[in-house]
Amino acid sequence: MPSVLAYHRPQSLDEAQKLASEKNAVLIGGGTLVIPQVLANPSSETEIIDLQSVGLAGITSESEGSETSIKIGAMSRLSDLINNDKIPHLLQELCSKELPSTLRTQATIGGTIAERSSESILLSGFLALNAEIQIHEKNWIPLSEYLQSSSPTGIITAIKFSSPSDDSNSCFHTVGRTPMDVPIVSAVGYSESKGKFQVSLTGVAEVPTLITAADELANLNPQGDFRGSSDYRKHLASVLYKRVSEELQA
Amino acid sequence: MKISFSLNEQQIETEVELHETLLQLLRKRGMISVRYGSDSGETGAGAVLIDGKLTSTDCMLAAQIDGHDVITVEWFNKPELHPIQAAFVATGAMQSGYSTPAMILGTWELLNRNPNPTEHEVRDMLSGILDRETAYVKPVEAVMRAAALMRGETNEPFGPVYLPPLTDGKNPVDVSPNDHGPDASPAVPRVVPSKDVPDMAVVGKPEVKVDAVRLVKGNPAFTDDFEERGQLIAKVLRSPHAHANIIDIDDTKAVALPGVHAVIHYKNTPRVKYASGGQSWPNPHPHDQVSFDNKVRHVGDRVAAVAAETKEIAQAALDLIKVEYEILPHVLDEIETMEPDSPVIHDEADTEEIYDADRNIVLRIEAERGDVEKGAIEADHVFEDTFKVHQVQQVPIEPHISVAWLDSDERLVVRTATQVPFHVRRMLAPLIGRDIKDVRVIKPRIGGGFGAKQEMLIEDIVAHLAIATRRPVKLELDRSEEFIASRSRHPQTLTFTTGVEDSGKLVSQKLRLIGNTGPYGTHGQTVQTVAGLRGLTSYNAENKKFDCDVVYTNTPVAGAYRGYGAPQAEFALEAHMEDIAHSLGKDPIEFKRQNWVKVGDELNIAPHLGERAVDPEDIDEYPKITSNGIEECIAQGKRSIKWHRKDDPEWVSPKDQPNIRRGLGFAFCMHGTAIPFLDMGGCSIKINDDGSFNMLVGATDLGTGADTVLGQIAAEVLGVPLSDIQVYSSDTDVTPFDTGAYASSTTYISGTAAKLAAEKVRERIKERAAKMLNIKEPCSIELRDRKAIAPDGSSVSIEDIAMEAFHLEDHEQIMGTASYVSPECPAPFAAQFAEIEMDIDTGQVTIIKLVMAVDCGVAINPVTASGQVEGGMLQALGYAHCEEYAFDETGKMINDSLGPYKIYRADEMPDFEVFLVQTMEDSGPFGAKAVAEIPKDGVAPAIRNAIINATGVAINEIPFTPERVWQKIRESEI
Repeated sequence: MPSVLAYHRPQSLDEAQKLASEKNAVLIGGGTLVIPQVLANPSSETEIIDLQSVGLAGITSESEGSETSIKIGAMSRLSDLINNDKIPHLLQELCSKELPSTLRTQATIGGTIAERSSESILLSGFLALNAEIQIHEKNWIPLSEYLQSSSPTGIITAIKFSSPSDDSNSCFHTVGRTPMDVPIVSAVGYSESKGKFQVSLTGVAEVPTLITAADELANLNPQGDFRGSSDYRKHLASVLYKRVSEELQA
Repeated sequence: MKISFSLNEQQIETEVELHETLLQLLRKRGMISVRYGSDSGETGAGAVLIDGKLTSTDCMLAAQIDGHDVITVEWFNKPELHPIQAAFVATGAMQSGYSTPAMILGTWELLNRNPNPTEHEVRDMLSGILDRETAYVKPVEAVMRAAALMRGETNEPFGPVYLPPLTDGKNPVDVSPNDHGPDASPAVPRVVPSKDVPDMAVVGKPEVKVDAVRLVKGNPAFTDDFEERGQLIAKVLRSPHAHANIIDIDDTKAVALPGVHAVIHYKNTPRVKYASGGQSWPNPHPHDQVSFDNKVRHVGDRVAAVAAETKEIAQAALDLIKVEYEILPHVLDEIETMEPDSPVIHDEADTEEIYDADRNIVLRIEAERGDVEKGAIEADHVFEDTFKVHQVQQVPIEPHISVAWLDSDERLVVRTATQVPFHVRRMLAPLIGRDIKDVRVIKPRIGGGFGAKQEMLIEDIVAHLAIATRRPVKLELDRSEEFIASRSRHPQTLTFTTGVEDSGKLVSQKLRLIGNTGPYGTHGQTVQTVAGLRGLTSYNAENKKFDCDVVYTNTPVAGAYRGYGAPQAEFALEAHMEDIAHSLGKDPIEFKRQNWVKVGDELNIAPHLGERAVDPEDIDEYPKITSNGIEECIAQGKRSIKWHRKDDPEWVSPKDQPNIRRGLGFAFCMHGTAIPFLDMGGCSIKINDDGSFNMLVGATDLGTGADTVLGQIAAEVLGVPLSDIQVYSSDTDVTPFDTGAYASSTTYISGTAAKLAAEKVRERIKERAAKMLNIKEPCSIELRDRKAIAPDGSSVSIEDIAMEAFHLEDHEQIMGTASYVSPECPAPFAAQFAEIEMDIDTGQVTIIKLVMAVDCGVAINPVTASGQVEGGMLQALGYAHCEEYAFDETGKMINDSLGPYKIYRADEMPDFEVFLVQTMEDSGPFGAKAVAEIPKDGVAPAIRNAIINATGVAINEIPFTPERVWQKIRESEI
């Protein structure tokens, strides 16, 4: 009858990995999304694996030559990013817009990545920054690859990206019902150096999608809903792509 | 499992269930300031500080808190208020106060890390705490003032700014573009006094709410804050189908589940017909509901209910109930449902007085003055426009919740979050086979209602289960149930046909309305009637006609929602009038002014509409407009919104932003104040030994400040400060009758009852004072400053009078009881202005500012009155802009959670400015008219008319969501 059969708080990644391999195991970071889903389904019979004690929180920067990369532990809360000087302003802004104040203190970066929501502007921001993620006992892989894989498994331990250089530029455009609504379509633009840029879109595919050239827009086939039909989303993608590209090339 | 954590700096070790949420754990441990709003964290009502950070508790397990620190608002509670709590009290920052503890905690956390926050930072902190009541205006002010206090600064007392009038009260004036109005915080009400209104000691003053301390401390106040011993938990099995017959129910496995105490459904519950709308007796027909039916008529309709030891057992039992359905075709649209091949929603034999069941027409409403057909023929121009308005929900942050039990005398007691406790008692009794005298209904504090709780929605379920189990039973709806199984605003299709002379004078106006009540009638008749009333009384025309069909569909049930038909009608009317003005080449405000009702004008169709409609031959005199401050409202509003900009092409189309258009819009608003000859309120006041008073009222304070306002009225009469009035409302065993909190009636009706009761007490006090002071004429004595004062200056304290009455001579309890029903329905008026900016490439409309200037007579408390306007505008903004029900092809609502169903949060609000323009309404207590509902009326048409100013595009359907607006822009090829 109870939907939660067990609650585990592993103290190491190996222990977590072992528990996660059990039937009905569900990993949580903050649990803001998973816990309501589990409790709403009394027949789910899940075992909760809470990752809060495996040591995955923290934001660090590492320099190698002229390049600095920023690494965010998967158990870092969204609110941790907002007040951390190492985090680019773009990601700080996206963190504050991703979730309201009472949820971003609990939701984690790892959970946000694992959710792979089509509507996540934060994920879209990481995508635009060519972020890579690390899954326990595996090598770093591009976030874009992770998002495109059909059934990803494993414990996400961190995400990293190159710290934007002084020549870089970024911007964020969005269309929603209200200013802080989950966007119907949004576009994060990032330019490492003048003349070259890429745009990450939400709301146009099953996961946030990276566009590197305007002609790729024609391949989009978004699913419509009551907030925006497929055609409208395609239109917004074109409009926002154009705005982002103009702003980054200005 | 066992966990250990710090709760308010006390180390706790406790066993928790694995499925237990932190919210459940904290409430179980007595932290009742942590309140339920949903299961997924979006409301923030249950937010606490976890390791110093504001975090929702309803979407995390109690087990997750092991090893952490939790602070709730109880940690602050000392005899004196913390400066943050004091700031919330002083600014009137809470209405129901349901989520105020979370706001206080968030403020504390914010100010600890940033003693001098910007407004943006304050709004960001509040972004996770949804509020349907204050529009966040006064909470933001409270945080800023708390910050100042904690920095050691001193705040000026919070109260209104008084503005000189811009008009003579009757005639329009031109407002100079260089006049910028008051420089004051938006939270400060702007009051424009009337020379007709005398200065008073308590009335008109920004008194602190009588229940403010209780609310800022998170003390027990709401239904769920009180728990009965042995309480069971109820859950309801709801239909997954929009329309189906129930062939059979097998509850065998559910009944056998350990911990289950009762399972009820159509097979074991009496079939007693009723209508659930909380309205005066006799409830309007048809009575088309029973507690449990063998047919379901919308997704979310009741199928069965379970009472069990725990919520989890109850939920598991629901899963064990086998229901065999015969699925039927369904219909959601109010036009389609009347087609011959549409499914018949009420085909049962025992529902009487459905107008045309085969066509799903619940009833027809017709009323006419003059001859609209003839008027239209004689007019120089005839205009016709059709408008569509949609279904939205009230979204009180406290969901519906009721607890029922049998008391020691085996009477049934129901503690319930209701706006209509006396109606609930009367309506509930026959459903459970009891006399009214055997039922007691207690209304504690309500965490918002907005009409959703003007209904006997779940009280019969807990009553049946309490009787079946002989145990207390609690039922609380979850957020999804609030959407699909509570009540909502009626969708409508409205067509206005208006005949106009070349001069601009209206000669005829007809409103054809089709109202969608969902599958049950409940408020169907009365809401559509009010739509007709509001649609056809704002403007003068000799010939008027209301032609209305109320229809059944398989959508979730519509019901009462603040404004009650007026927001729908006034959207259509103000849009229609705007379009006529543009077609005739006239200035919209001038055209409307030419035709709107003025003091002395008859409301010539009003008596023929409503629950007690009268035939034209039975009426001698029509009601008239008795006060109207609209010209001052318009002048103040124009100045605030900088109305002159609408004609500036460079402002409308900024050259540096080719995709941006800007616009200003206006809507004329008129509402009613209570239902004449029907709404009744009662009040009883008795004196205490120390010269204070207990006031018992049947009126229900939803967070509106009604208890405070009624107390102020009594205090003014009795010559005492508000703190000497202890207000108690409402309990059907204890307090006088009141029809309830609806129809903008409480201040006017219950307030007059309070005034009359206080006057009775005052007369008796004066008689005793005259005797004590050897004064021959008691009427010459005045009560003020807690004293009875004779013309010669001699005086005796009210305390001494009380002591004498109780203990010394001519022993008596000085008390007074009065009730009031009004023959009048004085209209409040308002000017609503909106400033918008829109992106013509995407259709996204951004609301920049809303200004409402309201003539509500005399605002008894300008702080609570302005709070009402702010909260009303917030809900109206959602109605206009972003809120809507969306369904899939099976009739299931697909956005039955907050987020997908979008309501505004603190960090995305437009600027608000509120003006209270005084007029003296002689029929109201100390000159008061209504203020609660009129803020719902004008936002949608003002935004719509601003879109016309921005782009020339007229959109006749709400909400103004991006794709809808974009499509219209594309069609117009601007």
